[in-house]
Amino acid sequence: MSEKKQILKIRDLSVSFHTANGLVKAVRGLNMDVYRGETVAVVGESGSGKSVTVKEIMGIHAPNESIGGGTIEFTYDDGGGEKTVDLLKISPRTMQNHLKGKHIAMVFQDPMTSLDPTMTIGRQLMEGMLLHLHIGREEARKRAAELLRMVGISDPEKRMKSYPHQLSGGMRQRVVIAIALSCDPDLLICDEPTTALDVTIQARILQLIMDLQKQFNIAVVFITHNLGVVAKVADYVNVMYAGKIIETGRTEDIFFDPRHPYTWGLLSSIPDVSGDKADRLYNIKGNPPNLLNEIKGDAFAPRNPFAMEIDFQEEPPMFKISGHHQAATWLLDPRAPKVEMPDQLRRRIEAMKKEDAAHAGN
Amino acid sequence: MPETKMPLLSVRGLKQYFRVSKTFTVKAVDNISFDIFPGETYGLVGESGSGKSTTGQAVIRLYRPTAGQIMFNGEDISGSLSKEQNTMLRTNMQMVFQDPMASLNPYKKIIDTIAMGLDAHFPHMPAKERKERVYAIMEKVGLSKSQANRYPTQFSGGQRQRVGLARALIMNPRLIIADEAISALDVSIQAQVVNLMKDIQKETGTAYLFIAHDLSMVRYISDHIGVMHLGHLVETGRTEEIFENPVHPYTRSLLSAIPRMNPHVERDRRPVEYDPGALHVSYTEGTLHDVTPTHSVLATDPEFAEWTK
Repeated sequence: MSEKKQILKIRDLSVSFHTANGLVKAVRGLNMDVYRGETVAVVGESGSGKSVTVKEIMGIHAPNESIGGGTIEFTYDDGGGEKTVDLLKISPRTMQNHLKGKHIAMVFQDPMTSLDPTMTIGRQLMEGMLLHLHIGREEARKRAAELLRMVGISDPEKRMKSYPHQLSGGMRQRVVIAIALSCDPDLLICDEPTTALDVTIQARILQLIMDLQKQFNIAVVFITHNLGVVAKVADYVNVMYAGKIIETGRTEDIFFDPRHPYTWGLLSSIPDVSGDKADRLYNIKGNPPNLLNEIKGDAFAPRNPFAMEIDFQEEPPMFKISGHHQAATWLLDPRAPKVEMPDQLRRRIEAMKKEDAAHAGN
Repeated sequence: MPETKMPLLSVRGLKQYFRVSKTFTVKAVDNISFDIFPGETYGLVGESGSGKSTTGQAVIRLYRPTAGQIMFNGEDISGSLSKEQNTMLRTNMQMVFQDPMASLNPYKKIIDTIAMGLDAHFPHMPAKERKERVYAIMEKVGLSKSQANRYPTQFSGGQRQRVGLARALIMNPRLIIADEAISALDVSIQAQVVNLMKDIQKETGTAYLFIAHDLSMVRYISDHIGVMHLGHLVETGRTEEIFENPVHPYTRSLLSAIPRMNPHVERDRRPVEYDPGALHVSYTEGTLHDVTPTHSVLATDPEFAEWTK
């Protein structure tokens, strides 16, 4: 395998919002790496700052936001060799004219709000290509039809004349994906692309994104709160809590060897269909912290049944578990007492390992 | 055995049509039958547009059913309601909605929201008793009584859903219809609310009609499951029967679409596709065939023979 090429490098990003109630610190020092050809999932509950992070990458800024610091380095090839820019420093005009849509594309949660209801599908597909690729109308139309066929829409020439409301939810999301891919982006950001869809269609859209990613060898950042989706698409997982990444690792690390108590809680609060029907779901007590308040120590400490004194005083650093697996919890400090993950989760992971053995067998 | 018990709610041949124009009628719910037993949970699943919410709304009589019979608590509530029947229905059946923010009045303190049922049915209740009953319910759903004078905006999503649950519980209902009650909540909060609903069921013996599209959660909470598609109830049975021995191809397709937690298995998983046209499945021609006394499936005779092979 050749050297992995880094596309995105976020370091120490912090973002706050000025609100009537005070300053909300939505993202508090976030690091993230994305390489070409890989899918990185960002998981977290609402308010954990995952959408804010990708909006910063896309250059979508709210009027009341202020960036506390950090860098977002994006590497791309603009025809004249490789370039690395800090997305927080470039002008909105450069972002709009050279990067957005062409090198970075985004798929949003609700396809109905991301498509223009007054324009035909075909026109919306061609819009980006005419702007960025400098090709003629005829060629753009041909490419648009090709893209539609690629995302699994039959009879593309006819469909290009349709308006968004004439398509079903799953079809609309396919169109949005086709638009996102129309200019061969280097980085595709998917913000909960399947949340608004039915389970049966969900699986098909995910499969489509995975297939296209392999075909074009693009990097994908996948925002979701659904761990089942993560298990399917991701190579790497970042678990976010209160504006910080608290555990990061390969998908196998997170699902088979989670270390942070929040990840434990997240994994065990979902009922598993392949396991035994448990009497009671394990749940995380309490609510996520209010980011209006100053957070002292570990943000998860008040909900953490294993919290120690230090959790309330000092923020835990990222502890390295292996070359690709890190977690920010004081439990990993050599001085910390040994703490086991909840029984229910341990049993489930054992069952999963057995399932693996059976799976590999046939 | 629950089968020997009298069902609390018994729906027979319920049809709910909406006439859109002279030539076009939406058959949102078409000829469905099911039973809910006291103290049990019936999970209703299906994709959006399958008519599961309409079923819930028809049962609580937000609509006048086009045809069919709804027996609740031993009374027929499908026709015009007498005053007594109306009171019985409005106190013994309650609803919890999907979006707690949209279903709570933002201008009302939550003590008044929770007490709405009391105010409507016992307008002369002494203020002290009213307050005490609200406090008792709030404690039951895990809210502290110091929060009684706050407004909905001052609560988090999970707490708001607890308020919604408290409002439903104050009349001591025998059946609560939970229409996607946990879908809008975060995973960790979902687990909290579902556990709470189970605890309340154990304590008060209320039954739930649990409408949802998340099958893993439905499996966890339900005793019986009904699967709906395009307005028809295609399969119904005990939870284990549906999950271990799904008969209808639509049920199989739904079950195969549930994400697994094991990344190795999940990556290779290909959900079963279901296209009623290609399979030549006609819902209107099918009748309910029993697989076991508690498990039945909508099929024609040849279909049933083929699926159970």
